[in-house]
Amino acid sequence: METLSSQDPRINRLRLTEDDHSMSNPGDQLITFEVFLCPKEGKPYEHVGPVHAADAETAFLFAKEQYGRRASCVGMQLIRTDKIKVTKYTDNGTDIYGFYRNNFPNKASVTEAFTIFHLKKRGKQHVCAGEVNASSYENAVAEYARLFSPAGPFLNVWAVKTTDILLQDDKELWGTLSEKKYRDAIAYRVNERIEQFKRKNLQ
Amino acid sequence: MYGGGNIFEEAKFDELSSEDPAELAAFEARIDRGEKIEPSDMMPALYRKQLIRMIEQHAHSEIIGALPEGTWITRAPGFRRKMALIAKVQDEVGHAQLLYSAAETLGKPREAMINDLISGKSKYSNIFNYPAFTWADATIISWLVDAGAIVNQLANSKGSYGPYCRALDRICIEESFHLKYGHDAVVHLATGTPIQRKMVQEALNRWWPPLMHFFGPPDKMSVHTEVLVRWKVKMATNDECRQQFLDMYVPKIWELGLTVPDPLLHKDEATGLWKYTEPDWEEFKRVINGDGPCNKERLAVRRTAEERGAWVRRALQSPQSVYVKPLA
Repeated sequence: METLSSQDPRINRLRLTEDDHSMSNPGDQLITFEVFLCPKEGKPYEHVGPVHAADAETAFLFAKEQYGRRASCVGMQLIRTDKIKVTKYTDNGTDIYGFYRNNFPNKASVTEAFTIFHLKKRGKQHVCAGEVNASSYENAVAEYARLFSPAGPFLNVWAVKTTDILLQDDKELWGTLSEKKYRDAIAYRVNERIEQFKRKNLQ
Repeated sequence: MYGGGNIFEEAKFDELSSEDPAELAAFEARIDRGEKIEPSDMMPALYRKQLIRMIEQHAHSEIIGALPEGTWITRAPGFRRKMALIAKVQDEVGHAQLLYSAAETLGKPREAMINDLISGKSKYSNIFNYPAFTWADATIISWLVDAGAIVNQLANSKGSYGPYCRALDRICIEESFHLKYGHDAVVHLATGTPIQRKMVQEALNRWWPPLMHFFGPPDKMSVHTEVLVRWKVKMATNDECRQQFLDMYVPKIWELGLTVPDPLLHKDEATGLWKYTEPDWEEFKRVINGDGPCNKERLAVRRTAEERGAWVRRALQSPQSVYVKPLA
């Protein structure tokens, strides 16, 4: 079969053909993880988006490249998407905690630690709110509301068992972020050169 | 980077007749109040379909858009530019990931989107079907194609779908570096030797027609999108984006002593609108439908990457690997 010719020598070395059989392998999407970043020492973790990976180790690698390579970052958490329990979204103005506060009492003698993430406004991201001991996901939301009386309204809550949170807080990982100035808009200043060019052309 | 030349399906109003009127009214009221729609909210099937289509085209454009510039990484003049270009190309691929994730929240798995790209079923920005012959072409792409993309993406970031807006907010921050980096590289050539000036002028001449195509056909030729405007899916018309681009960047081109290859191009001071020669829309259609200088190469590169990486993904599969839709 004839190979495609490109102006890029690297592409020529691939010896590509025009054959256009389409791919179909719906099974290789791997596991979905939600990624949370801590932007600054002392700030809460914030949801930034998902990654797909085969295991936690590669998920951290992808997440660091995807979400941790540009913005300031001092720590990263990953949670398997299927380990997060989600409340329904209320309309702006209605507090979701109001619905849970008195409806899900602690019914068990054994409790475990849950972490709560909540959303204050549609279009924004979920932010880590804190940790409570509870007997179920629903009870965790109710306990959080009872203990912390969050100044809402909040319109959506994610509850997760704290043991399901995978943490990467090795500070060395993020140490070089601020050195890569060539990736910042501010590193490129052209006005002086343009003015100089105009002056020279006018002479 | 991405243009506003979205190819929407024509909105058929009978598609709305199957929606529950009360739910549809609540959905529209939410948008009217300026609230964002989140993945688990009720949304009309037509809204979901058109958003998937738009976000998917945008994602494909990022991933294919990395190719013409990626060509120049190995031959970038100087180490600093090489580092910056690597960072820019990585940003573009990262944008594709963000956008695929946003589209996934609407129910279309990533693998299905990539299959549709490779089979040619799903489109991407037409401009990336043109080749970057010289380093100067790469600088014009970084400056002006990204400038055009910012015009469109800033408009879309005010849209109604939460996950898409969040992705665009991140994307726009990185695009501001692309724009400044590209402008810097063009200024370097334009204020350089006569040969450098000639190189950048020729590149600009090559990219001007695709840049005029970039925002899509004129409004009078575009399909009816009133309902998409009302639902804040389409945030600015093709002509509005094109006018904004001309207004912001033609003066910056001219101040470098470069010319634009369109003798009719000027700003009508009375209306404040730019006049220009209508680009060849037949060529636009022809290239979108596969007959451009690089269509085959772009898809073949993407397909080969997919095929040659498939064994790695297969090897990583385990019974634990169950795909779930991302949350937000």
